[in-house]
Amino acid sequence: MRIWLHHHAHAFRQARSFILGQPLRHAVSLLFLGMLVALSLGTGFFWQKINHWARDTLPEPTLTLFMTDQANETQTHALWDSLAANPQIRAFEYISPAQALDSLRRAPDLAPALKALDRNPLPGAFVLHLRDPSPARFNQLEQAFSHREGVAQIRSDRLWAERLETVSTLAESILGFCALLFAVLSFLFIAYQTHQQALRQREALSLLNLLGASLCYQRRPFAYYGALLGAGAGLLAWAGIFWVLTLIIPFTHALGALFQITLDLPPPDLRDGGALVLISTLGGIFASLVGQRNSRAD
Amino acid sequence: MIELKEIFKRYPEHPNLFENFSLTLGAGEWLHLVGPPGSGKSTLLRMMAGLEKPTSGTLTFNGQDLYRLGTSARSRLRQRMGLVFPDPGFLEGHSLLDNVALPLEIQGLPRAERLTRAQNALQRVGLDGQSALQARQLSQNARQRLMVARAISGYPVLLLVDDFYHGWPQEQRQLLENLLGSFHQGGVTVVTAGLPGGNLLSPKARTLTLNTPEPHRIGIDP
Repeated sequence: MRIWLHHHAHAFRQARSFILGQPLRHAVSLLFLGMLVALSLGTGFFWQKINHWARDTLPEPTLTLFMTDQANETQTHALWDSLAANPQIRAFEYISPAQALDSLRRAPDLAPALKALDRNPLPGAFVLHLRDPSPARFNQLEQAFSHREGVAQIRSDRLWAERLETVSTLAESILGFCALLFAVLSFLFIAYQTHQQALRQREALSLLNLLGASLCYQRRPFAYYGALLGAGAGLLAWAGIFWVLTLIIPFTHALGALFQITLDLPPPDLRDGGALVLISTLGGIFASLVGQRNSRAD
Repeated sequence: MIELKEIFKRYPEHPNLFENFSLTLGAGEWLHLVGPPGSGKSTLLRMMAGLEKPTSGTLTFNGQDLYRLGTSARSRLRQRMGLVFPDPGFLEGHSLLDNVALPLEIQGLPRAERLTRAQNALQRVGLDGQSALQARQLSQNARQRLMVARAISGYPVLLLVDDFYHGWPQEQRQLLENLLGSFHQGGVTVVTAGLPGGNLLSPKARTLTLNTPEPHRIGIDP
């Protein structure tokens, strides 16, 4: 155990010396890497926020079951029970004919016309909020309830749901591709840096091989090198995202106020930052091992 | 200690360098390989060190088939060998003391012990006054002695010494002979290599002559 710790401490010192041996080159590399990691995670974060805002601000697609004029209380209760038991329905509400008429009466243009009616012509209706508002679910529920007793007509926001899903899939694909691209670029950059470092250390590696150093012993400094690059880039990315968000928060609040929506962009906290540094460190280790492996000359 | 059995080694330029070659070397023996350049002395030493895989055949070191072991296990066995090969490599930017202590660092010895052993090894090759210098500041001869110091610092059970002492001053040759002799007397197996007509490093050594272009078919008798 003592030897193992000693070897790790030695490898860490060596990795540090790789970086301190070329401080300017590594400072520039870290800045570049930090930007790549920030762009990768920033894109993912941006997508999450956009999705969240879209759900909060855009009207949610719903499914409305209009009852027949002749629908009795028993049929309405039976439908209520089956809606309550359906796991695909997140929530639903019943709007009675009287409630529907009341809401119409509140509209100043319609009020005089409604006064002329001798009876309430509006049907009762169930408005369903789906757990997964995808077009397929809408179809499924439409089919399930269209032949129910007491149901006269179904009005579905399926087309709206389809548009939302298409836009969402497109945005997700573009942003996901960008996030993946930046992540892959970060990985390749660390692998390339390690490859260059290993080429620079080729003589030392060949000497270590001659003196009986195991492959683990030879690889360990490069793993620490990748870890240091990854951790440094993660820290820089965290700081960068924090700084940018702190700068733009007043503007997003002002924009939100204009559209009467909440545009909340909290900067990443300690937990988010820790996760970011951990992920980039692990990515750095893996990338460095790939880079070093490709420069080995046994 | 070392047993080579039915070894074949082929290179494109030397298709039959070793052909059905066998050799047994007991613990505490001293073997001197003699042959002209290209006769396979260095190849044989590198095969014994686990650095050059034979085309076929088995090579055992302390009962373990060297080339059936994994790379790391073979490297660990190499920690018990002292290699003195031409064209030495050193850690640039490090002192002589650090360079000699490197095998001990790989073995994971504590710092104090590493430094004591490295200092002792430098003293044995006559470089004790220059331990703070860097390898590139040394003459060719001193660099070779530094390599000897590095090879003996880990208390090896097998010393493989390739032909590099050719042209050394008599005084330095004597120093090296005495040094290898002391290890040999301590039970260390020594394999040296040299050109024909060169002075033997030790009269106690048995000699194996390697010739080209004839392939080496069988080993020697003691």
